[in-house]
Amino acid sequence: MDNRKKLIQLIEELKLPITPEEVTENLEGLSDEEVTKLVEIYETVKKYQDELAQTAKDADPKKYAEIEAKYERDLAKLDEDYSMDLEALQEKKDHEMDLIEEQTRRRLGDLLYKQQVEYTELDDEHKKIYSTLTSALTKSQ
Amino acid sequence: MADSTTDVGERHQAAPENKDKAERLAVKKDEVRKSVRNNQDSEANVLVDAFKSGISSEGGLNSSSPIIRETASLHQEARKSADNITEPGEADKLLADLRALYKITGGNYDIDSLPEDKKDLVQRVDVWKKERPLGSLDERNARGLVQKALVNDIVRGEANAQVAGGDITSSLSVTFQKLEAKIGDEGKLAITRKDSVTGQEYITEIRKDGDTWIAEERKVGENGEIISQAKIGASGSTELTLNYTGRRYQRRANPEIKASSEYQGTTATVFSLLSESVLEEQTADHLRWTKDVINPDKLKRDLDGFGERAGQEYFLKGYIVRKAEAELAKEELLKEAGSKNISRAGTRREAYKLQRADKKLKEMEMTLLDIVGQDDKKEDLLKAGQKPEVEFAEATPIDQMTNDQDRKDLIDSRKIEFKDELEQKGGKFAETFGSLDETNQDAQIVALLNIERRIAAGKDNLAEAIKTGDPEIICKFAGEIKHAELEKDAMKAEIDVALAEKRREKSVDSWKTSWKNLVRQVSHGRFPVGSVISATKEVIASHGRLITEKVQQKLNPLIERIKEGTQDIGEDIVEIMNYVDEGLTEAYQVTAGVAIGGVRETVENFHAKMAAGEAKFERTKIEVRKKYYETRHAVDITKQEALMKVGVEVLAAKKHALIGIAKAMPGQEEEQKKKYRERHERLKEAKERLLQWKTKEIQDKMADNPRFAFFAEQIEEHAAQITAEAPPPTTARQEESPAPQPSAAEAEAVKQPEPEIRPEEQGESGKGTGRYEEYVSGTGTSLDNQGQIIRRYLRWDEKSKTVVIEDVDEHGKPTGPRVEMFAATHDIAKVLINSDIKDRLEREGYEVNRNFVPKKPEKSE
Repeated sequence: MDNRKKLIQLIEELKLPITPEEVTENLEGLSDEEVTKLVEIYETVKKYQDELAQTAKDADPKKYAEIEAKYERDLAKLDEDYSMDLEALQEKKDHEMDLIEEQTRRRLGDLLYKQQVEYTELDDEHKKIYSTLTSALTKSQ
Repeated sequence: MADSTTDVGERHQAAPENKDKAERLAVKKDEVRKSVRNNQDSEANVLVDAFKSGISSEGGLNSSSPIIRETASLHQEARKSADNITEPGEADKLLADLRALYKITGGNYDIDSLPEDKKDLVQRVDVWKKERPLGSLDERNARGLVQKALVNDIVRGEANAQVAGGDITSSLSVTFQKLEAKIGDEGKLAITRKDSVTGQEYITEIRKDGDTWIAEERKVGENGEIISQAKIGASGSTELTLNYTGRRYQRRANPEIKASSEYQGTTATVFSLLSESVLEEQTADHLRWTKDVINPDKLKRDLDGFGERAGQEYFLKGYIVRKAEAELAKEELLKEAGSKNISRAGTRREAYKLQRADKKLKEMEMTLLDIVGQDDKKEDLLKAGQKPEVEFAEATPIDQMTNDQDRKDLIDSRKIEFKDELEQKGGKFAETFGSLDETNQDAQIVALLNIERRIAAGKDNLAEAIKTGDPEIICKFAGEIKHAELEKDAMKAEIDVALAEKRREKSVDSWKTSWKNLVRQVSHGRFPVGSVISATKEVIASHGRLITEKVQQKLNPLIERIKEGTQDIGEDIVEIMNYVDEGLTEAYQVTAGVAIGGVRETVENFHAKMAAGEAKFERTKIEVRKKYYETRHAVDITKQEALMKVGVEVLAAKKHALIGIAKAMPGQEEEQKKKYRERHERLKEAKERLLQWKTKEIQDKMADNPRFAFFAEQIEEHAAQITAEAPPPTTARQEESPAPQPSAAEAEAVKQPEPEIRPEEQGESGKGTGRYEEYVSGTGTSLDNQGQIIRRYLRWDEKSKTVVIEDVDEHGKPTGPRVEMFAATHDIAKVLINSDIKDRLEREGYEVNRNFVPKKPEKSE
């Protein structure tokens, strides 16, 4: 696997508090050699965690299963909360965007209507002026 | 047969009929040569393509097809024999063969050489193919394939080289197998969809009637009118219907093929497209998992072993409900993506519903695999649940289309639709649009089409995004579509304003002509001065709104001069009339300016507001995401600490158990100890390696590149947290056993005694009433305090409403001054304790970990 991908995977496995945006931004400024070095370090940490988990599992399988189950439950709850937060945020944005669109459509409609009305009025005015003038002049002859 | 070497000149002189024949022959030979030469390259390309693809998409041929072989040999022969032809008839035959040859291979078929009815069909199918420039990509591609197959069938039919039945059945054999596997007891597969352009619902159904496979699309409703149908018999016999009725197809866009056995390749193509589209829906990842991997029947059998029927039923019901939730959410999303008016709210709701249902489903599947003991399949399940890699496309602007004819067809077809829309709007919009020159009309249509293509691409992308199940991506594309739809409306508004302005220009021009004529008559003294003045005054009095100040200023001195009896006022009157004209023109210009400027300003405002909204959303989203990642890390650290505690505590406890084992079963003690020692060694080694990660080389790299330092610091902080000593184990003892030495952290943890809680402070904490106590330890990581351990004892007493915080040594004895704070409630006390920990540690030069979470100490009973 490409080392950059490996590093991203390790960040995810270790659940480090780095957002994907931060990963992308910072990864761009790294040379291949630096990435390789980081992978080595991250793998050392992962290896220790794996050994730790295995030690606990060997020492007390029941307790280990409980810890894992609690961890899964906590993560699931956290994911759900996160999903809810994002949805609420998206909802707020959607309302704002819908409102902006609605206002824009209304404004465009008003402008078109006003233009139609004013042109019609001016057309009528033209016709009236011309007919007033011509009829007044014709009458006088 | 005449001698091929006969001198043409001799014949020419010999007899007029011979001269004609020779000329005809020469012409024909020339045609043959030209045909061979002109088609050489394209024919070669067609052959190469045909061999590569097996031209299965064009009627089930493969590279060994007799037609392909025949093509090659005929072409070779034609080249050799073109010069040896002695009779015009032979040349004609060869030419006909060549034409048929090129038609068969899909090369250069000549539509004009087809009979009228076939020519008409080719043209109609071409219009049908292009009928939905803004429909879904799948629909457009499918129609393209059908059109290609149909043209191929027609030219093959003319050359009497229809696709053989055996080729049809063999090209569809894999599809038949897939269908057989999926069709089930009901004997059919059916799905309901919506036309991406008209919104009309239709059913796609695949069934088997005896030996005949039938794939069809029919409208939803009592009549169930068939739109397309492909029947394939066991021997490869075919029957095709392509009959698209309705307003959109009135303009020669309906192929009108009804139960025809003529188009074998097309029938196979239609059958394959319909079947694959239904099968694709049937084999969504989850569904495949449910059927092939989890296998409900097997699961039930496995669960029987547990003797928990009620539990099984409950579990399965829950699973089915989640499954239904996910599938329904996906269905709703696809409906939303296909609808004319996408709703942000609807898309968002269903996208998040899908995400949560998918997640729960996945959890249940994992649990299921746990129950039935199929851990090995978990990885497969995770892989199956990974987001599929999808590609998102950007719309190509019309002027980047490579095929000029296609571009022209697209513009023309949209122009017709646009004129229809303008006609429906009433007024004189359509008429004014029609009066614009062609270039101007095209410019408007191209601008409109570009936005519509963005909307269509957005819809394709939304359909792809749904496959990922990621609500953020789904909502992003729904938003982009809505945005583009508004831009389309704004574009139409701009066109409307421009058309109204155009109309106004026309009517003003005509009015100006009459007005100028009148002015000329006045200036030439056509009317008596008195009547001109009174007529002018009447106009001014009755149409004050349009009379400008200039007119008033000119009029007043004029009236004075009239009173004085001046007769020479013709020029002044003309000037006034010109001012009236100007006033009216200005009024028009103001209105036009307000409308045109207003539309532009409104659109600019819209873009600015949307961009600001997007930016704000992105900022907040990043904050929410950051918080989520930090909390998730804290959860993980808590888990690592719990694992550390179990490892240290239980291993320590086992040491004592080993003493018992040694006494009772001497033989087993060594084996147990060996296992224990190995495990300890491995953990110890892993930890030692971890503690040595920050070499000089790494430190240099951190100093050189802040990006590198960013990642290094993240892991440094994480490593510090997972290697910090665990809270003191309750079961550990200091008695030595034959066991190996624990690691540094473990040794530290084992050494630590319970914090000494002074009797007067212990109060009723053991009973859990009125007191809150915590023991916290942290490792300093700043340069000054490198490696130092700080231990802090915290207590809140409900009775005195006081929080007490003090540092203690390794034996629990106070080492510094006490801090006392007032806290009315338990929750306030907790907040104070947590914030104090951070503040004080930071003040004292310690770098406090971001997720520093105090823990309760183990209490002795």
